[in-house]
Amino acid sequence: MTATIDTTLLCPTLPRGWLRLLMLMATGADTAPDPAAERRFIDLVSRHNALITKICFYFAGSNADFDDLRQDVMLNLWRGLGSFRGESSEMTWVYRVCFNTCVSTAKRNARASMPSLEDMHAERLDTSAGGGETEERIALLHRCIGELNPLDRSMVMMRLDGRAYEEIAEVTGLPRNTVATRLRRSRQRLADLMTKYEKDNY
Amino acid sequence: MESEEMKKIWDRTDARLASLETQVKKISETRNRTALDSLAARYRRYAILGIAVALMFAMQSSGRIFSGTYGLIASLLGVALGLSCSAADWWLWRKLGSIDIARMSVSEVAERAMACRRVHLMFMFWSIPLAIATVTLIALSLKATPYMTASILTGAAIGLAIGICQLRRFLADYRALAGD
Repeated sequence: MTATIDTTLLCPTLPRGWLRLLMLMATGADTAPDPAAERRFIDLVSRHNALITKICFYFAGSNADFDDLRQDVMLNLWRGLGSFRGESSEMTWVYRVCFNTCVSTAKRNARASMPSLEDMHAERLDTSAGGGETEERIALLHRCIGELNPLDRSMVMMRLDGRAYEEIAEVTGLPRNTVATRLRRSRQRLADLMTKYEKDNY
Repeated sequence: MESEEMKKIWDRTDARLASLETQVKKISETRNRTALDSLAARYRRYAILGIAVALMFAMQSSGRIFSGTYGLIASLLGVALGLSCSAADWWLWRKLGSIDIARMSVSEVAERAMACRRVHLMFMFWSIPLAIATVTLIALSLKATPYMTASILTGAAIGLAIGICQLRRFLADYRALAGD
C-alpha cells in the first residue's frame, strides 16, 4: 500500500497569505521545488522509511498521534536536508531528527487511554501476516516503551536497533557513561513492566 | 523478559508495520507546523500585541481617557509594559527559532527549551507587578466610581484567567519540548 506524502516546501519563515504573495512577487522568487533537492529527499525517505515508521509507531499513543508524528518528522527531514553536510552518518542524522521531533511532540502512552492504544494496534498492526502472538508482543512492547521518559525511550529504541553507545550518545547529547547507566535502568524497568503486564494478561 | 526477546519483538515490528510504509511521490506546500513552530509563532504574535499595547498607551498619554498625574504615570507604565513584554517575546521567538532539531542533539534541544522557559517565568516577576501597578493607577486616575471599580476588577479578573490559561499552554509546550 503506498500513498503520497505531502510536506511543506519553501522557506517556512515566509509569512502566509497575501503578504507572502506580495513578497514573492516583489522578489520574483521561483516557488517551484528544486528537483535535485526533491530527489534527494525522496531517496532519503525511501531508504529510511521503515525506521521512521517504527519510531513514530512506538512514540505514538493513538492513530492521530502516529499520523501527526510521521508528518512532522517528514517536514523536519525536508527542512533540515539542505543543511546536512555529512557531519555524521545519514542514519545518525535521521535518528536525531526523528527523536527530536517525537520527543518534542509525543505524549506518554501511559497517559493515552487504553482504548486509543488498542484502536491503534488493531488498525496499524498487520494481522494478515498470521502472527497473533507476535502482534500481542509488539503491542505489549509498545505499551511498556510508552511508559518510559521520552529521552529514555529514544535511547532504548536505538539500543534495540543495535546502535552503539557512542552513536546513542551523539544523538542524545549525553555522555557515554550516562547513556550506559540510563539504558541499564530503562531496560530493567522495561523488563519489569513487560513481566508485570504479561502476568496481568495484557 | 530478557533483552534478546525484546530485540526480537522490535525486529519483528518491521514486518508487521510494512503495510504502513508510504512512498513519497510529490512534495507540495502545506500549512503543517510542528509544536516548536507553534510555540515560536505564539511568541511572535504576543510580540506584535505588546507593540500594539505600547502604542495604545502612548496615544493615550495626552490625557484623553486617564488624566492627571496618575493618568500620565499609568500611560508611561503601560508603554513600558508593552515594550518590555514585546522585547521579551521577540527575544524568546528568535531563541526558539534558532533551535535546529536537525543539527542539535535531543538533550541540547531540551536544554535550550528549558532556558527559554526560565526566561519566560523570570520575566513574569517584572511584568505582573508592572501590570498591577498600571491597572491601579488607571483606576486612581479615573477617580473610579464603585461601578467603574467593579468593571476594572472584572476586566482584571478576566485578563488574569486568560493569562493563566495561556501560561499553562506555554508550560505544556515547554514540557513537551523537554521530553518530560
